[in-house]
Amino acid sequence: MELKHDWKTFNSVLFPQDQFVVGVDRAHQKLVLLEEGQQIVDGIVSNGAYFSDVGIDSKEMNKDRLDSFASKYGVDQTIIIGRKDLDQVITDSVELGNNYFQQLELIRGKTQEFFSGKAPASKKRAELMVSRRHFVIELFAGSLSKFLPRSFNLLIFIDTTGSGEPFQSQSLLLSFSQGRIDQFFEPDYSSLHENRLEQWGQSGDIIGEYLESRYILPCYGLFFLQEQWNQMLAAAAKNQNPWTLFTKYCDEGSASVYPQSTLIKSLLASQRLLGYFGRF
Amino acid sequence: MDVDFKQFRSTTKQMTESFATDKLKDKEDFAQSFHVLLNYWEIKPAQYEAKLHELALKDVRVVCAFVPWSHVETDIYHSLKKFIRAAYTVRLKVKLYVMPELGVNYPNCGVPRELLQSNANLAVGRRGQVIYNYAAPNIFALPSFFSPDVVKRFGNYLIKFGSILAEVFHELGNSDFCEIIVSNTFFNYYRNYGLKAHEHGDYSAAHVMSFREFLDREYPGGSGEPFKMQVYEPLNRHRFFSHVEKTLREKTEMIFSRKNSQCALRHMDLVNPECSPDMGYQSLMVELFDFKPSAQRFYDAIVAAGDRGEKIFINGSGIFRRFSDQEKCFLIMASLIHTGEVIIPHEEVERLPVAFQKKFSDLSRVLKNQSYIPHRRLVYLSVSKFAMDQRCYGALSKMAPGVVSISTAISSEASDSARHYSDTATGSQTSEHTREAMRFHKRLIFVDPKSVLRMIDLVQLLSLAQSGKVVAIPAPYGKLSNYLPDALNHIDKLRKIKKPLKINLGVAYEVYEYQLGFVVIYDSTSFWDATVKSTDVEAAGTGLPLFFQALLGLAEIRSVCQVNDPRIHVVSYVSESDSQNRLLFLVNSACEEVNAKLQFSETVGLASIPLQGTDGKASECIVGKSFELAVPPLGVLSMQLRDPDLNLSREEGTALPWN
Repeated sequence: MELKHDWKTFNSVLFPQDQFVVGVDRAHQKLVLLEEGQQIVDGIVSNGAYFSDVGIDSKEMNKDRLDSFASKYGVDQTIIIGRKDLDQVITDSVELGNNYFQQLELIRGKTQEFFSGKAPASKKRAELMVSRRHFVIELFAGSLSKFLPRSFNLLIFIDTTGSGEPFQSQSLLLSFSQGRIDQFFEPDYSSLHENRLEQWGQSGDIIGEYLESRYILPCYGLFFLQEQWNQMLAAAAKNQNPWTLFTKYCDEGSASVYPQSTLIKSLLASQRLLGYFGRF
Repeated sequence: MDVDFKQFRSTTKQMTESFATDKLKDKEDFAQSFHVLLNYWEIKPAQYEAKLHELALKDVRVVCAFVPWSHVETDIYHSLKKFIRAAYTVRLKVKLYVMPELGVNYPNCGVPRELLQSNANLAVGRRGQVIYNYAAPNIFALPSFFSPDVVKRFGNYLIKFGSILAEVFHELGNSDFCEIIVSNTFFNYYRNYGLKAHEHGDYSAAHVMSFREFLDREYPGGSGEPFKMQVYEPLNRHRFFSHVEKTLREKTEMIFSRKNSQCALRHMDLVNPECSPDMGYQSLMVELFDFKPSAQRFYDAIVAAGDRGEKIFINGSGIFRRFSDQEKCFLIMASLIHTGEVIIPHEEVERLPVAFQKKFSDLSRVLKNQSYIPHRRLVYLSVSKFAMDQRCYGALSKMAPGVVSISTAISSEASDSARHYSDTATGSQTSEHTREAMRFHKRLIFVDPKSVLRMIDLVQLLSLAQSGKVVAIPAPYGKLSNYLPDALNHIDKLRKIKKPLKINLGVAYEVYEYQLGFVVIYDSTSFWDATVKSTDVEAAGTGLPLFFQALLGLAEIRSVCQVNDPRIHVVSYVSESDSQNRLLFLVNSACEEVNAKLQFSETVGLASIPLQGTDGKASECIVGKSFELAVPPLGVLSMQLRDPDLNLSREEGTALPWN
């Protein structure tokens, strides 16, 4: 049976394990405290440290006290969230059904309005809450969504074959609807000849057309090798532009995109220009 | 139908025997180092055999699979049947977990969506709030097994599941390769964060009527009315929750017995640490803010599960994936040591370092081959795993760390005593509680002070004392009845016939010699007395520590060793076949190395555990009373304890310093 919200595949493709290595740099570390009835009922530290101050009084949580917490746990900042507010948002999120990604997005968005404690400027406040960002989602659900159909599928196809090993791949199909991820799952290739997947470099069109007929939605596809995908993720983590890399791989012929429409060609061309001028 | 199965069995007996001897050792029928989990619904049926072959090539002999409830209901591709067939073809054994569990990678963990749309079907906490699951695969409200709709639909699912199994076994002519596991499902998770353990439970509206009926059955007639008072409410509710959980398990077992009498069935308590009530917000906030989870927090949940006798299920799609390799290895090893069993998705197993896989396999093999069991010598008996008096349980756990295990009371109805969990391996027909407590190494059975004892409870407790145990039971309380009338008569008779040794060490108690063991009747006044509110036992001056010290002394229970650093957890195992054969594990859940000083009460020999490739040869043994050992961060030091008199060689001036 095909899962429509396959959280495991979603994370293993978009957020593989390597990205969770937490640096020693304190600058981006945070401590989030959960408060209820003037008591801290739980806390979580971004660097994985053990929170041992459950039950402390939160009545006089001034700047100095928050800073002392931050020092104790080796973080840059302490944030407080009210438990009741969080619970209310969690209850609201249940209505989104099985879409854990949307549930987390909703809760994440709403908690920004609730937390108290250090009160930075509103612009900086948004930066404090780490969001589940990914360059693929940002592009297709963000700036590009105006040019794309209201509902479409995006295939991320990664050739994971190791040297000397038989062909292996990993795929994730993201179903977008009105600029939001509606479904995420591993696509069903059962009616597709297995050679098509193995020769994905030449068969990108066939795979894309197959998925369009299978899922009755326009489909876009990104095809790369595992190491290319890893490099793109690493570039994104360093705030570099991963799409420049993707363009380079496409030009080398080791990655491909579906369909080769005018829009996609324009985007690739613009990335080439950005990459060219970026050298100066 | 049963006759046909038996005939089938005789004709396929040869095949079964050949299968068993070719592929499995006697003791390892369903055991292997890792309990490898495969989510069969994530794979196309046509790929089952290929995938299982792949696992078989990696030395997997038993594959585990959860069976999502709504998947069975809607499975038009007959995936489950094909999966079982494929496992049989590939000659793998299969363990099927039939109850819904949190963390399974299926929408709502397999619970049908329609059931969750009605508030009447949802579980509610002590304070009237719906109980949610926050961890992957998605946030949803837990269903209540008190709801008639839920129970009815669940029953239909079990019947359908049983039919599927019956068809497959009939077709294959064999069911020996399959084992059904009945676990405690959502009952472990019925608590909102922040509520105390004794407030654990599903307090939904649907349970009220059933609870009233239960009370009427439990305490019939006029003599039972006092036991329905408010003061007994927490105890009665926990007893009721345990009863409902047990009834659900028994009904599940009955359905499979009817449909599939030859299939092995086992009961087990299972927990997914990241879904446990105390970890709820941790799991959510880790995902929300993209944080690193706390390995120590996860480890605390594993330790608590071990104390409650639960096995660990690690979810591949939850926060566990965010741990580093070192942390994952540590948590998996800790799960094995504290609980004896850990279920891991096959993708996680494949990602583990090869060296760790070998070490884990070797240790598992040693534990199985020499029948090592956790050396938990003290059984804390209460009506449910969450109903313990915290002062009492906390004090005992502190004084006897790592040796306390929690056990729930015997079933409430006299007729239930005839329905036991059957042990298919040994063929014995004793209750799980009695069988567990009767293990030779369980020396002390301590009954929670706020218990209401029935005749059946008392008789079983006295039989345990008869067999050589020390059984501590609360004395009849003057102001309130904590014994049912027949039990009260029985205990009074015992107290009149036997002459006790009366002692008062802050807590008054009487020690009765009872055949091979002892019965200790202790004054439970301070526990029932509502004015005693302090949770700090020593500050309250109740004398509990002295009393427990005396009890532990009477039962000859003492810590294996003293450790100078509280960050180190000491876990000991003993061999069922040889009580002198013991293993010791020092577990460090901190992120820095800890220099632990071990102090033993007598001279012992420490040696490394004989692993595969050493041909069981004894390694060098270091003899002494105290040792200094460096336990690595997120590490486990394992060693064998030996009697120095039987020591094979004594090394002088070895690398490990001792006093």
